[in-house]
Amino acid sequence: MNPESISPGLTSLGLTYFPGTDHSWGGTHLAWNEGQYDQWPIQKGPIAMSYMTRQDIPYHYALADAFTVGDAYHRSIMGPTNPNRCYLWTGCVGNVNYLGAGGTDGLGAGPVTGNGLSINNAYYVWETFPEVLQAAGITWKIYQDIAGEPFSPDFGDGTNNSFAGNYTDNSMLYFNQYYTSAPGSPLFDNAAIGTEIINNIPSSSASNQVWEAWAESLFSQFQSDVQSGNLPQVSWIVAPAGYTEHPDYPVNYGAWYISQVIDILVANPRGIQQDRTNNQL
Amino acid sequence: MSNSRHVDRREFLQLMGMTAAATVLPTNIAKALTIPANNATETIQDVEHIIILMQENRPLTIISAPFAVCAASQIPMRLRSIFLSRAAAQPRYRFFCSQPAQLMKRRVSPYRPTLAPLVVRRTAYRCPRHSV
Repeated sequence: MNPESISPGLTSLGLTYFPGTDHSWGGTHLAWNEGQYDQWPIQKGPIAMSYMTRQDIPYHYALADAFTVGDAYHRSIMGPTNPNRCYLWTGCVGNVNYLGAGGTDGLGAGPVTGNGLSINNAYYVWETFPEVLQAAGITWKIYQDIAGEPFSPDFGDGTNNSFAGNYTDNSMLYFNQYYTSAPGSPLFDNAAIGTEIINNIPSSSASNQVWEAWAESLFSQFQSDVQSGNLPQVSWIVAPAGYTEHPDYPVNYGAWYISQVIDILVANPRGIQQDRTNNQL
Repeated sequence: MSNSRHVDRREFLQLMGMTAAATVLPTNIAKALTIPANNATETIQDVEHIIILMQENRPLTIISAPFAVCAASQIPMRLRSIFLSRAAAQPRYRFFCSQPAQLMKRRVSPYRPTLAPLVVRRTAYRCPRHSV
């Protein structure tokens, strides 16, 4: 299963490369239209009104059937990826009052509304959840694949292969505390390293089995930690672009990725129980 | 606020006469459900691991629209009449259920696209007429 070799759009909606739509701070607020919510097709195109059904994305529906879902889920901020992930990892976009005149990057930048480094091309400086956990003695780790450099200029996604790297989705790598951390320190070792499967990419003539094993090697560290009872108390998993369900990557590539994580967890209840014992000691 | 909130997923399933048990689950999800919960202390201390898998910004409507009020054209008449009456009372529902589309010179309702126009002519969707 060479993911690159799957023809787009020919088997089902769930495997279709849907075109992406505008999701910038500006475009999203125009679609919102001061709370009237009536500008989606105009700002984003008719695709914004499309949806999929159970037959298109059966795994997602099965997840929703089986587990609790956030019925009233909404995103943290009407803007693009990184500000929303800042909420995930820090609870805010730097709109905290302890920063003072230096702002979010030490150079006067305001709250984050875009991707990448700050408007001054600087790393952000406010406190993150992993630091809070570390100080409280809670174990944590960010599982990811790294392609290229973990910090500038690649931020973990320095190749054009959609099925390796972290899609620059590890927001901690835009923070100065991590950028200045040394290998061996908790911030570096738990947030700035990961698998590097781009180094082992099969040849284009390799068998499907080889390609499948390569794709599954994304989970080698996570699987190893679960099996050995070393899963941290809090962990984040960051997918390569092709598995994020970000348009135009197919939703069912994401289903495969989620399914791998579930596979690892349900196959190792004993490993988790072992970890439970360790915690009680 | 109870009369203005939309029917949530669980209510929708109930109204449709569907339950989770009626669905054939993929093996690993079914297996996950058979693993007993750790409720040794019945406190938050029983939560020993938190795993956060956050993917990307695919609009949630693509995943969940059939459960939302905006999919009025896709749901049974019984529910649809509820939405119609709400939409009549609240312009906001009307806006959300079908929206103006500049290039098409008409309104767009939520729709499940077909494959062919997506692949061949991405700007020429055939959208259902607005239903509310």
